[in-house]
Amino acid sequence: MERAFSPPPLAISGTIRWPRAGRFPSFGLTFALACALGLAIVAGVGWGTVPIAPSLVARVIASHLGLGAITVDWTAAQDAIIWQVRLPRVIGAVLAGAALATSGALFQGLFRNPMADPFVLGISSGAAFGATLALLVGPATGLAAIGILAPTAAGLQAMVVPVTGAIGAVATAFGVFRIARRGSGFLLTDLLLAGFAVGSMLTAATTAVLVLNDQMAVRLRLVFSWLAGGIAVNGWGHLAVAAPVVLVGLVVAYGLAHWLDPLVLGEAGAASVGVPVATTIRVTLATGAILAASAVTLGGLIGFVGLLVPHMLRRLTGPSHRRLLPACAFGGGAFLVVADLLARIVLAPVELPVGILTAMVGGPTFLMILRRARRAA
Amino acid sequence: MARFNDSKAPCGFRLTGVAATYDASGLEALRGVSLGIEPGEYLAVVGPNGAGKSTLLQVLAGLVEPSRGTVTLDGIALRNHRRRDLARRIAWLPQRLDPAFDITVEGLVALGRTAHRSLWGGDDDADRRAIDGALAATDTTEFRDRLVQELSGGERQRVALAMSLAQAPQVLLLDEPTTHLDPAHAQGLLDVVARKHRDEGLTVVAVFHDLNLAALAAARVVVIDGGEVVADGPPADALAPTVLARTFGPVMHAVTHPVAGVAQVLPARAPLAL
Repeated sequence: MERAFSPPPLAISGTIRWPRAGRFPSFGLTFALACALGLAIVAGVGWGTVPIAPSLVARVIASHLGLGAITVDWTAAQDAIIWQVRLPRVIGAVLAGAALATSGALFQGLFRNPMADPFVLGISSGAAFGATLALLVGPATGLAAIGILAPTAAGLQAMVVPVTGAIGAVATAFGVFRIARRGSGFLLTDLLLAGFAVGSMLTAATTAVLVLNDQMAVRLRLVFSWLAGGIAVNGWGHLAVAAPVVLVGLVVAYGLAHWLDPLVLGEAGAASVGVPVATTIRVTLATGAILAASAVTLGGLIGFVGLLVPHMLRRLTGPSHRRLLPACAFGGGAFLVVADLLARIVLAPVELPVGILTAMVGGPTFLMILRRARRAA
Repeated sequence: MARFNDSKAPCGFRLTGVAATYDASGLEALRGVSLGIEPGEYLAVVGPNGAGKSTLLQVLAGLVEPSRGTVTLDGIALRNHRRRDLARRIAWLPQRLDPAFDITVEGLVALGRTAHRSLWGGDDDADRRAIDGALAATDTTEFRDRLVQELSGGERQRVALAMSLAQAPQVLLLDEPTTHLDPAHAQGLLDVVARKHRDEGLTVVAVFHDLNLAALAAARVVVIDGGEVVADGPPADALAPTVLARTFGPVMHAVTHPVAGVAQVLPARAPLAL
């Protein structure tokens, strides 16, 4: 039995126009996005100070994955660059992008608002704050966990940063949800302002922690570069915690799809067709927050991916989460790999944190959606 | 009020001393309602604005939990039924269905199948049959690929009813289903509901704003005022002049429908005609 529902306020987010439902075949779209992801990975690995031909990248990866009999005609150095250095970073971007896009899609479905995104809602800032607190407790382990130092710590220690990051994100998600909730709906302004205020406070707290701590102050530039949204993955060891968490998160998200769709009717409407609303809210908040926190551990505060990717893909998938969420996983991964590649190319040899790039594209898109939402309201 | 059959009849409600608050303000919209609803019954609920009609419906749907008293479905407290089981038996149609984003008619009607699907599986044949049947019964098949947001009020209400029918419920709870509709659309919608009630034994509890439609549609009318049941019986009794005067004030004139032969009410006078 669910708890009681109070009536929604008159002007809930229900007036927002979403992109028109598309009729693209579901399997075809997912397959196309998976191919795009594959191409993006090859391009992302091939690009760098030592350019590597796409065919070689593909063959090296294929041979490591044990796909077919491939004659080794590359040097050990090339193998190391592709498999040990570049691929982990690109896979880090894939995981972060998939996590962010899926997290955004989950929050948009839950809040019935196309502008909800872990960054906009302050949830990424909560993860960054949680992760930063762990840096204080064990600086060496912590810095290794976010990719600034080479990974030395093993086992439980390596999990401290991801865990405190996840706790920070989940606490923020539930907090923003409670603050923004009015009746059983969410006003657009309440949601955005609550996210802004909470996110600002947590970012300030994170900065304070970093500046006031001596050990951190020495490495401030590196830590800020991580916070600004730079994929910092040094070898496969960094993905050992994030990869399983993201994969489990994506599967749980897909399992929620079925209960997120009826939320278009509002919470009472969803309950009346059989959705356990209270459970759905809790699991969705937690899953979206943990996915966002994993992305933060991998790449700091990369904004607007959770906004941009579902916004673009929803035109092709329509509102069904069964179609949207897998598309977001593949599309988000491909998107962030390409964005990370561009961030490396634009000012080469200087590397721009990818978060700056996504903010430059995402910010205007955010304003465009806001404008459309206001016009419709 | 001893209409309730205590034997194990399917989907009968019994409310005992039910009080419920409408929102966080703590004001009681229902104050001690006791009512039995038999399986297969068509019950109309009427009353002045703010009488607690919608809240009563939401209590029956299990969406609002009583602050006092008990509600049972088949002799088991409503709160002990699982959400999914309730949704397979009870469909609730709110006053106005306003999807938060663009959705096709077919997509909306398919939401009615939520409780019948497994967590990981997709639509099966039963789902597709129920969706097609619901669209056909409400004469909305031609709209199936259109966006709900593009439909007129009357069309949209029929589509909303289609979603409820796709739930394949035993009980249909309708909250002022015809309030936003013109007379022809209202008649059409009530025809669909009446057909389901007559042919498939669907239990119907409908809140009506229009006393005349209530009397025409239902065999039993419950009048609610100030959160309490003030009359309960066939239309002729429940809408008797004394009840009307007490509930709505001296503004009604009771007559009999010239064709249907049931109790009807007219405004007592023209404006300013004292």
